[in-house]
Amino acid sequence: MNAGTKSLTAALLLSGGFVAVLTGLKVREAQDLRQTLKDQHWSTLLASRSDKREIAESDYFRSVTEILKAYYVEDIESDAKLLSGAVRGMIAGLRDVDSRFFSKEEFAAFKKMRQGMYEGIGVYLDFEGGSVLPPQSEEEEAEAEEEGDLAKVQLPRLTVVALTPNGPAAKAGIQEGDVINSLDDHWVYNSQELLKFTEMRRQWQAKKLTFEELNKERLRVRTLLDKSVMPVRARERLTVGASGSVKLRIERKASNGKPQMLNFTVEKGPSEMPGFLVKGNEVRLPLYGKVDEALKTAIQGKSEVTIDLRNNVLGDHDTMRRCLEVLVPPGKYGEIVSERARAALPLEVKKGNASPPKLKLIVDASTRDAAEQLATALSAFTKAKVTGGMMGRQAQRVASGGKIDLAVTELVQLPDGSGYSLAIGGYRASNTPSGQKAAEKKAGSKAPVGKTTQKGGE
Amino acid sequence: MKFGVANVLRGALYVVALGACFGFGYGWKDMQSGSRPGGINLLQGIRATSPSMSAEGAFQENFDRILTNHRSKVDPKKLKYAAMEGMVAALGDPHTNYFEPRTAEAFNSEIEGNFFGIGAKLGEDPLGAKVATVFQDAPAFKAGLKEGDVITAVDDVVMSGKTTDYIVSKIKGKEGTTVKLTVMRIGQEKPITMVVRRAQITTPTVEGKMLPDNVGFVQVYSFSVPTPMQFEQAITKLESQGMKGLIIDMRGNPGGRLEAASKMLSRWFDSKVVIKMEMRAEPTFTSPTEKKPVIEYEKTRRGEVQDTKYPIVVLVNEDSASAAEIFAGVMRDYKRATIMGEKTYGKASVQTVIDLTDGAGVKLTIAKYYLPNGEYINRKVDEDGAYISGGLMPDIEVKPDETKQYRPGELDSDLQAKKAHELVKSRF
Repeated sequence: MNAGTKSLTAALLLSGGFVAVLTGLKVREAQDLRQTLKDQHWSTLLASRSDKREIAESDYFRSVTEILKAYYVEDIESDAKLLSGAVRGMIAGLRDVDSRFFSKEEFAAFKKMRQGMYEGIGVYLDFEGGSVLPPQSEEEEAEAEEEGDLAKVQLPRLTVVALTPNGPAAKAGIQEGDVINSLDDHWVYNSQELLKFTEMRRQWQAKKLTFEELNKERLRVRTLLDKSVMPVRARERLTVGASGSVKLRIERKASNGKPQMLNFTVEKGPSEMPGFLVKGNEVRLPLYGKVDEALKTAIQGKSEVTIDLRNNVLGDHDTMRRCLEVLVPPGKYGEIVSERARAALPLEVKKGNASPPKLKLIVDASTRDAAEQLATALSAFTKAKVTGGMMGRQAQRVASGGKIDLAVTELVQLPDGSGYSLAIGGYRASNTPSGQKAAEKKAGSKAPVGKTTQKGGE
Repeated sequence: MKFGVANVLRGALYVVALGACFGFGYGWKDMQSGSRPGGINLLQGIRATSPSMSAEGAFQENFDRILTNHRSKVDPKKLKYAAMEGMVAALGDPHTNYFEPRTAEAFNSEIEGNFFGIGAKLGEDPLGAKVATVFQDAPAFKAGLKEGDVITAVDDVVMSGKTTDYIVSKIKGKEGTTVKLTVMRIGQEKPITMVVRRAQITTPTVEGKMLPDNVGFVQVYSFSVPTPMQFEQAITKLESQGMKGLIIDMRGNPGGRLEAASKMLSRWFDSKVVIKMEMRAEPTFTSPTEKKPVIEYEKTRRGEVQDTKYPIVVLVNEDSASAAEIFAGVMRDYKRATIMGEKTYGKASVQTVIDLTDGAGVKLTIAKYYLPNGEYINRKVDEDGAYISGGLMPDIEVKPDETKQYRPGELDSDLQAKKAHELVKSRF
């Protein structure tokens, strides 16, 4: 070998090595991508790509925490408290009824509640009866005022929507639909009372009301405000802890439609929501854990199955999807919409059940979240017969003309044990063309959404 | 033949080398990620932020998740500000606040006095804002505004359900401009409207008058530089008129200069502790992490006592704060006066404002103080701003009669003053 050939070989080897490294990188990347697509939870398809921003929020967070730690009069021992405070602020800032922050104790209780184990007085409470949230910023309020719609706003109230059958509240005589007016002699804050003033003041100005009447009302609300508790705090006190007692004042609609006030004293204690149960052709189906497997066994060889979805408030959306796989043939069963996603994401049943049984569903106002999604999907896309009452959000959805969707949420736990639920999309029982093509099509920024078909429990 | 064993070996070596290169490329990502903090685990459908992550990393992770995953579009700036407000609120101190850039600007200009008012002090009311005090000869006084009036609209915008701070910000404006107020007054069927010109307000801080039976009534509106002198003059005048007992009215007094309060208290107490102040020391080079609190005492002056031993009642309410609470607390602790009225606001701390580079600011508590008996009356609130504890409890609780229009110190309308008057008289 002469010198020329030698250096040529060396160069070839060197570049060969270089190419090998690059190939290695590329192969890995492709493989990872395939794996990611395979592993990816469906919800990530809904998320928008993150926008590039100038300063990382983490730096901003750090600079504020450093100021607090250096100058605040008391020692701030842990960052975890500041972190969960910041997350609490963000969740509150979303002003979304389906996105909630939970304190450490509340989140622990909430996780147990999802599996049917209740603390407190054995109730599931939600904000009911409202159309929208009240305006919270000054601009929003000014806007609402200009449009003159502030008095029309219907504010949600803290309401008992489900009870554990043998729990403390049920034993004391509390019922579904009861509105919490006060807790331990503290009025549960309700800005409806303040809005009433705007209206009374107008009447006074129009001379339909005397000053004495107006002033009496003014003093009454002042007294209420002096001793009040925020609704979220009241909810925490009613659902956390298994000892002690609470004094409740409850608003209940009497048979003549007029609200009546009732007083209760309830001892806190553990109680349970009914779990998975098969009785003949009837299946009670709480949506958590591996109920889909149990369901599969339960319906084996049956031509007709009744599914009881009452007292089903905190189901898990993914579990619901797996149950759907057991109950229906492959196909599209509605879609998840989000303002953020480019297009609606179809709820697809992939393998499915080729020979499903005839389904009958039992629902009522305590059929909520994932259970309501399941019932809505089954009633819209199969011949399932729905019996019972109106479901949790059904009246609201119908009244909104399909504008309100059934929230799909994800749960996140923070290092100090607190946590939050985040509404990432809304379920709709409709199959729009945009939803069908969502996967391949990169449409405009806003998801075109077709008419919602709503069939419900009757 | 050129193909020898050596050549075969060499060929094999090349293949191995190339393989190693490939492996290096393939494994590069693992070497990179070896130092990265843990990500998200899916545990029973719950995503967990790894506890091993730094707080700011965890914050960024949750910030990004909310921004990208929430079903509605979220403004990243608003989300950031909401986070900071929430973080500061977690301390449970109503006086430690985060101001987003725009609010911070308004806050600063208010401190610097670029805004002018109408010469009235307002308190909370569900219908708008209740007028607590109208300053003598101020624009509001000339326009006919009276204590107890409820301002229900400002420039025809309805104010019911608004915070007092918000209403005050709407009333304040440039000097010389006017503001239209709609007022509800007890005993008047029709709402009253009045137009008031904004002006620089020089507030009289003390006013004194003699009530029946030689009981003096001294109102202290705030604690500023001229207050001790005005207080001195008011009391001297009343004493010269034969005062046999004194009511000091601290209702609605938001506080002010601590020195003013301690100078006024020097009339009764000779170099006695007014408050014990506990500050946080700056970290030093010798102890960068250990921060022992620095203790300081504020005392009354020496040799200024001129106490005529007549009975004294101090009136307070929920709008009495800071120096006003100290004044009442010191009078109580050294057993020189009876405190009457309602539980006070509860401010026993000192704040400073720190600006951030983006124009936002953090107002935070840097010191707290204790009354002579050791009581810490600072207000505590929960994350929603709801009251938990704090405030100075009066010795005798008297609520005002809110069904009547009242003027401070007028015995037939001011129920608290009437009760104070009765008590003072009984101790002659």
